[in-house]
Amino acid sequence: MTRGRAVWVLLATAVPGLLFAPVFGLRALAPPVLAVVVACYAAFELCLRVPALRPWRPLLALPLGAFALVEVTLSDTTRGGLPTAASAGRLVAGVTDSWQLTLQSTWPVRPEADLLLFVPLLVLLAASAGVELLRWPGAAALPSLALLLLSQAFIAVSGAVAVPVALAYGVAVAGLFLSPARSAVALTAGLGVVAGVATLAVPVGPAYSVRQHQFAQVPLPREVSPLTEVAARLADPRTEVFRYASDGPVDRWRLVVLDRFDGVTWTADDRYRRLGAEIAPPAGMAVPTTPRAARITVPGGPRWLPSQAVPTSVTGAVRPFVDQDAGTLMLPERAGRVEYELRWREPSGDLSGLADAAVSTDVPPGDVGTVPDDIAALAKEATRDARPTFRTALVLEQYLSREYRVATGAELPTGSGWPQLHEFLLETKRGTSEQFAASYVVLARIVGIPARLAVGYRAPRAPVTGEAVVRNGDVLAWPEVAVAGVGWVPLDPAGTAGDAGPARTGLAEVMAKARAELPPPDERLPDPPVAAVAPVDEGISGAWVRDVALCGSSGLLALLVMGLLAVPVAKVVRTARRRRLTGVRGVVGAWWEARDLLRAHGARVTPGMTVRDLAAVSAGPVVDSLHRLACHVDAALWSGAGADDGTVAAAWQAVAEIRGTLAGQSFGARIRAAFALR
Amino acid sequence: MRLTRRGVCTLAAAVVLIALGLVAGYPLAVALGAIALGAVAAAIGVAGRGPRVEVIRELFPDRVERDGRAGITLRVHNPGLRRQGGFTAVDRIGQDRVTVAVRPLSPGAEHPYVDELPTGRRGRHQVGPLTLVRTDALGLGRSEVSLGATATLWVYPRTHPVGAVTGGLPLHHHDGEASETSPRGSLDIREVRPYVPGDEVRHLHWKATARTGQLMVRDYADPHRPQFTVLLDDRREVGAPEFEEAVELAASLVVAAAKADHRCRLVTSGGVDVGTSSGWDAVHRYLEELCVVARTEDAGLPLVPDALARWGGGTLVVVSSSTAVSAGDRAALVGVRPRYADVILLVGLPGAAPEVPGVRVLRAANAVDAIRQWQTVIA
Repeated sequence: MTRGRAVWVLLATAVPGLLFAPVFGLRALAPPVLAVVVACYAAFELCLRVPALRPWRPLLALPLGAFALVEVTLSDTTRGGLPTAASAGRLVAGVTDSWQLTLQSTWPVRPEADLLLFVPLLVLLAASAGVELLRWPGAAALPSLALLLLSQAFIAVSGAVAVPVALAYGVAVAGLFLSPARSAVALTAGLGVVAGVATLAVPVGPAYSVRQHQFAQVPLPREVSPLTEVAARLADPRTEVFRYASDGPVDRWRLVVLDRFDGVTWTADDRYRRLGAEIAPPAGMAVPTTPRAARITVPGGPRWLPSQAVPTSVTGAVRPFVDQDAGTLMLPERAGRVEYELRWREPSGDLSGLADAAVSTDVPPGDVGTVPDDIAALAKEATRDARPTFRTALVLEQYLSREYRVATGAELPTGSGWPQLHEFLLETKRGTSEQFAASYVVLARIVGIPARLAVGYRAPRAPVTGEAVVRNGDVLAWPEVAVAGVGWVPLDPAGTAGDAGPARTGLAEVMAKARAELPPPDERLPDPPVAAVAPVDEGISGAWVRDVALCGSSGLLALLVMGLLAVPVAKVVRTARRRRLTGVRGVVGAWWEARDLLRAHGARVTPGMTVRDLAAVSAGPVVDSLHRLACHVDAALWSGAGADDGTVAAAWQAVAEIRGTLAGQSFGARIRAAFALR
Repeated sequence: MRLTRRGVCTLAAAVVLIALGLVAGYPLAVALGAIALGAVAAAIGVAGRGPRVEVIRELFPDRVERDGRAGITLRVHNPGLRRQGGFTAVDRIGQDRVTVAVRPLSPGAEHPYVDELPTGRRGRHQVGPLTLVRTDALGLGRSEVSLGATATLWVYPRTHPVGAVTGGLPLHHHDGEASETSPRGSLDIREVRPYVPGDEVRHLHWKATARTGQLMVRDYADPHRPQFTVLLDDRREVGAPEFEEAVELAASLVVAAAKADHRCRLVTSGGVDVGTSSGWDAVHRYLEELCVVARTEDAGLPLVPDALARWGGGTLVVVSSSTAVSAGDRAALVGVRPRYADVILLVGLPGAAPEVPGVRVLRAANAVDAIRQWQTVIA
């Protein structure tokens, strides 16, 4: 009994422990969790066999579990199979740091012991507490329940998986609760399963996760923004920045993405996480994607590493931080040459609907600082006063590339604050990709298109295979527009203006086609098809009154129907109950039935009336039936012989005769009798 | 029908889980809460209707030695027209409980359940009232029905086979020389005392009557008729385990003597005084008395009660504890010594053996050890 309960409580603790699997991967998580649970059971069994150890059980289970954990996950710190001071240090770090590292990382995390240690340690604590509380099974389940809720606070399982997991946990707790009687197990199990499955139909909102506002603390001080270096790099075009070898054509490499603009400087949100094992594509990306890979060698330079819009993993000696929204990689403590293999995903397949796509409504357009009046007018003119769609975004790009020139030569304009942009847009109309991109972003934001500014390098055109070298001259700043279902689509007003032409990636081809299909500059943009707008309610107060009236009337109607039906139903139930009576009570039940039938049909029945009294005040064929019933009632009550089944049947036969006689009355009388409260 | 504390807690946890799951968006919490709600609903469904059955309880035998076998038979009958689900019948026997799992019963069916009663505690135990409990599998809901009838189970102290010791009255020498072995019995005058109705008129002592002015009668006794008296020390000072052993020993001795047709008497320090004629009825009488005897609540009682001081003849066995026998008790024992042919003091091992002049003292670890010594030394 005790052993069984201990096993159930340990199972109930292991299930929530394994719920962290989406974070760490089941293969990495299962061995330490199981090792800890087995160690707990070993301590329990030992204390059963050696009763002297019983008071020391928790003090025995915790070190035993920690030892098993060290052997399974920290075997590199052991010497000759025995834990060392390093093992203890790592365990302490597991208590203090590992959960923070996990929260700061993208999920699933890298399968490293330093990150997952806190889960088996929590399982150990919960299992030990559960075993100690075994005397009260309800309390013994609480530690595991707390662990389960904690696992949900980390990462909530989705609806379809939640039911089997809940059932598994429920089975473990039920095993803990199961009484020796084990009565009606099937009913409990059946109702539990039905109730659990029924929750699949319950809509549950987005899950809260403790990770939501947890980001890695990236060490300060910051370096110079790559955006301000664009002109400087263009002035020294031959210097090598990095080199790469990819499995296909690459359009551009990004370093940073800047989405905040206060009118003077462009800054980025500090939302870096440690890069985990693999990153899933963003939720808003509905288009099919293909995996890509490249090997990149960066000799030195800033902390930002060349990356792509949707990176999935980085392998190599580096452990970079990643901004999942922007796709930028950063290596805070960087010294010298860095080599890594980057994997990312690119939109592919059928993107033909891109030109007609709407801009994303999930992303706010962004800040623009204090907009000069003439710039707002320019924005309207550039977008031909159209609604914010992706086509409008392309028109704006076309406008910039048509009306403005890329600056070359020694005197390159710098800066991307409002004064410089004002000068670029309205006066010189000449700038580097920095001004092009910054101008595009602010104009797009003014007309309501969500846009952001990315800085990186254009991929060199020449080699598709083999190693490509990216130099200072390839530096590029470009705007990106949030498109519904696709994510951030990079544009290149400066590239098209400079006539460099994009590399042949799938997205770039579709964009080129869309650009070619744009209407001429003097034509109005065709409005995209608009979904039919739901008719607007006429006034809130009217609807409220109508709703209340509808609810009230339907409720009253339901009450009325229930009230009307209640009387006949109650009578049917009453008759059925009387029919089930046997012996003397059966005969008396038949008399009551006959009395109530006649009373419902209007006979004057007084308290204490006998069957013969009722027969005396009745008239018609009912009287004969009542006299027969009276004989049976007298025989049953006064003869002393009681009543057998035959007498009961005969009494009810008399009642049936009365009923048959009453059925010959008019329809109205019968209806009145059926609903009479007697 | 009511939810148990566990059921109420489960219900509360289910509500909290569902609320938390809906607010924070955890489908697992919602599913878990729903499963818990389902379990509570099942508990209400199972325990909502108490068992409606008739139960007849039979005990056999209803008098049993300690650790003997006593059976209980529950005849469960379903008088209704509906099938009855299974339930648990709990019968109370003193502080113990017997639990019988009753299977579902179809209408009109009857099923007997045989179980053994716990007989580890000496005493007169009330069996019942019978409680019918129906709970669900997880113990979340519970309905109880109590059936009032009770029965009585007598758990006698254990008796061990022991040889009865023969000891008659000490012979009187006032009337002259007496032969120690008279083959046809003898008659020995014990005292001359006032006549009470029922006394033999033939034994009126006329001289004494004339001298005193009231009817006096001679009290004769057969000096060879064996008599046996057990004094059980049931004072508070005796430890509980030692007292149980003492009761067992006293029962063994008095039953053996009564079976051997000796005149017996059972006296306790606390005031019990049972003297009957011999035979099987006497055996039951003594066993019933020893079944319910318990240590006194008051401390400081003397070992030898007043009743014993007016009695004599045969063998007196005092069953007590070394720790409980005080100097006063020893003096009292010395005082009654002349009235008996033999006085034996049986005490437990703890404490120093009390020295009482003229009294044989046996020390034993328990009743079995005491019987063994008795067989060796006395019988």
